[in-house]
Amino acid sequence: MKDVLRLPILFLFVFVLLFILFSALSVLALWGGVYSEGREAALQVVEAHIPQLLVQMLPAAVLVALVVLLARIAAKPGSRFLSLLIPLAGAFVLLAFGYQILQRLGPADAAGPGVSRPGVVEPSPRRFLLPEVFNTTESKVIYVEQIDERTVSPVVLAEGGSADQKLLYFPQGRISVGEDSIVVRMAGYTLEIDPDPVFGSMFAADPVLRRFFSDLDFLNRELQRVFRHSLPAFYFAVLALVVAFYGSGMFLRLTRWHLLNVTLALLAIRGLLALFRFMSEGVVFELEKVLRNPQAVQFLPELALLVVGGLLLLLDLLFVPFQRVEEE
Amino acid sequence: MRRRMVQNPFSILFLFYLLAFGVFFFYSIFTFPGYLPTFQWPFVWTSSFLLFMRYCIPVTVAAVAVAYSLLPTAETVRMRAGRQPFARLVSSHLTSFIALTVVYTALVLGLHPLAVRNMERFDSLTLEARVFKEKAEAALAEEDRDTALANYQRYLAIDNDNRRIMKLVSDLQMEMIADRSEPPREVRQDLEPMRIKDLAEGRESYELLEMAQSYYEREDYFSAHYYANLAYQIDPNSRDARRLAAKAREMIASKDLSKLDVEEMRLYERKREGYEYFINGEYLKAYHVFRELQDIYPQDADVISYLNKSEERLSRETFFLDEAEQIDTLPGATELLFVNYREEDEREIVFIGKLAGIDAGIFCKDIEVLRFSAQGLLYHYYAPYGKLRDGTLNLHGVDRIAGDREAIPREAVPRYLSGATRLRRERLPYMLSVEPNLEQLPTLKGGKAASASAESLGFFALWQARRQIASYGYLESSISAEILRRLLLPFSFLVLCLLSVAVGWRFQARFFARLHWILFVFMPLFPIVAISLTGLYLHAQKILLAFVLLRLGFSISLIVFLVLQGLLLLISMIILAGQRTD
Repeated sequence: MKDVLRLPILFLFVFVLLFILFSALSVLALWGGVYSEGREAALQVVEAHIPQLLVQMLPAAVLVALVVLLARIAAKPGSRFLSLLIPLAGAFVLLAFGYQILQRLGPADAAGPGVSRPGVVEPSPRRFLLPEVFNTTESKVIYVEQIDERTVSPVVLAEGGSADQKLLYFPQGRISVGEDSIVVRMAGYTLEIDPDPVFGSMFAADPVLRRFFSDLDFLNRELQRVFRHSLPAFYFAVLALVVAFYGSGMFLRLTRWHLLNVTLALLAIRGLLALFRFMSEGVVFELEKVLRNPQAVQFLPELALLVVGGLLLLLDLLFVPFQRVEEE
Repeated sequence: MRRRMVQNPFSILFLFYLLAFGVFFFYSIFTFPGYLPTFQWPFVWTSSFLLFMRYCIPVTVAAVAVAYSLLPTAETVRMRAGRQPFARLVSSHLTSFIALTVVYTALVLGLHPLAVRNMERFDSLTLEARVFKEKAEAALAEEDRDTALANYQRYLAIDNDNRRIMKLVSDLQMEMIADRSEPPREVRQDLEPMRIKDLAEGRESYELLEMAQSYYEREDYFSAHYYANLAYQIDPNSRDARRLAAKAREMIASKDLSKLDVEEMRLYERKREGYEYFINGEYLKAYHVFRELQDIYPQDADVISYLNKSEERLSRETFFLDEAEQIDTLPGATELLFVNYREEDEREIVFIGKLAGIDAGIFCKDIEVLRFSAQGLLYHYYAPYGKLRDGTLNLHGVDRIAGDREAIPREAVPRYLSGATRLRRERLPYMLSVEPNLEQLPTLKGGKAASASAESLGFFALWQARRQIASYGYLESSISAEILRRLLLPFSFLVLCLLSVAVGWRFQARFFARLHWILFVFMPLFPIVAISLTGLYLHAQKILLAFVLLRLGFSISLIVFLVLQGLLLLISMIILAGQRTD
């Protein structure tokens, strides 16, 4: 019965640690992305984005804390009932209600993307281009002497000309910062570049992690979408996610080789994220094109997670010894 | 055998290394891009090495964890070693891990940038070779066989195993020989300039005057005039020198040519013509005259002497295009871009397509210079080649061999794309003063967005470039971040090795019998998971260090880095020491 106290405390402790760590790193990365706009502007942007960042870090912190708890249960198994109840309930409560509380911290808005909202700092051109240095974009190198809110002057483009004329000079240009691109219009030449912050590369993830972070971002976006759609749907999505992650804990007790168990569990978790994205972007997208009522498959990804999680849970209950470590 | 392998974790580690390198090797074979076929195997080896270095930490982490998880069970260890802490059991292994870290550091800081540079070399030389081939084919289509042959030969200098082009060149040469009505003139292949030490070097005016007098008495009026003139330039008050120079000149002009035969007369007239050019400072014309004479009269002392003197003078103001063109087929630093000149309201931006060194000096190609002020563009020019000496880029290239006398010798000078006036006013119109020194130039590789990475630069080159790179239009913080990233790798290697020992031991396999063979099928899964885990570990530190770097500067970030690594090492040692044998 010690588990009644021990497991929730451990879960909360790990969650708080992870939540602080993930949030702190995200804040630092965000600050690095806007640092080129100046100290005041950077602080304003970070301050405005903190509630949104906390919301984004919550699912990752809850799910990783859940996996840590499952590893602890696998290493020192106690009551099977409590080991099922506490992680599932704890993760569900933290994620479902924590999400709602953190959502309330942000600015009350119902505006869609691209709409200027109160308290949100609009990016200035200096976030993406610095004066008096060679700014490298995906295909061009740009040197700008002065940058104002709307104009740049003069501009030198490298890689801009023909084989024997790499440099192009423009006395002045007009710059506009959009959500998807930065457009610099000069005499007879329009340059469109991706909105990559000047110091973004110093904080960017390596290619091996990009896909993983991209799947996490997708999960966050989907949770956000479902949360805005309806609260019961959001609870269902959270339940599916928690059950699926809990189910993957089955791998932690699968064989006598514990390192292999941990590896399989981590791969299963990664697989769940990929499955969720594949179902949302691939299967649902294709089904929506052929079905008369696209709303019918709207929650298919969450349902798939729930089914996979349920199956894993069933296999765990039926075939995998709960107290494997103690038996050994 | 298996038992022995399991008992020694390093056998498993090296097995993982071997398998990983094998996988990368085969992957590189199948991902060979469209480089020249001659680069295929060098590419495969280089690419395998780069991939191995990229994934070395996760492969090591996975291998060490697997090795320690498969060590004989705790019972066996306890029986052999008594009840002692696990840390004591692995203490001998720690030395090996430190040695491995040293090897990894040498590879990541020393060999890795060289390999990246090698990859860039394959890319740039392939592009160069294709340009030569296209030019040759275009020239052949226009029946300009000389140009076609020259470009095919340059192509072969890069792709020297291409039998098709070799046959094409051979056929072309045969056709050209067959078409010639007269036997070809012997073309000197030895392009290395012969330099004779000038006798005037370091001499006083009176010594030069004595030499001039001596030459005058021997009726060598060219040398007499040359040395008397030099003596007069050193000491303008020397009337004797002036008088002797005038006398020698008069003798040159008034020499009775009627006593000479036709051949000697022609030689003398041409020598006089060349000498006039030389005295008037037209060294290129003088060079061409003496060069032509040398082909006909290779033993003539005056011709040899003045050819070398004019070549010497010429090299101060120009360079030979054939020397510069040698860098086309050589590897070098490419796509250099920098702010060369910074004043209150003026900036000069320089682009250099390629920089490479040969015995004759340091040469550049595809040079573009753009200067502007608050009022607008001042000038913008392009020069095909340049020679870098003492911080000055000479943009005036000339042909070494004149060819036919009537033919206009090739000359490469800056071509103005905009605003020619300003440069024309300068005293040395074809000289460009270059602010970065030769060591700094290869670090300014921002001319192309795709090649702007600092990965190809050595660690010490980065360290030296960091201080001044901001004045050339680059962000100092990006170089500092790269330095920290490289320093992070060896520390992470050691820390993660120690942690994976503990993880492997903690999650040990508890088999009653032998390890089932089916479990070996799962071996590739360990590195896959380790890639993400080590990636997260490095990414978190990268964010923290980049923040400290931007906020507090490089020195503080270096201190924070060392403290952080010390802390992580301490934590990993504590975790390691805390492992139990039971």
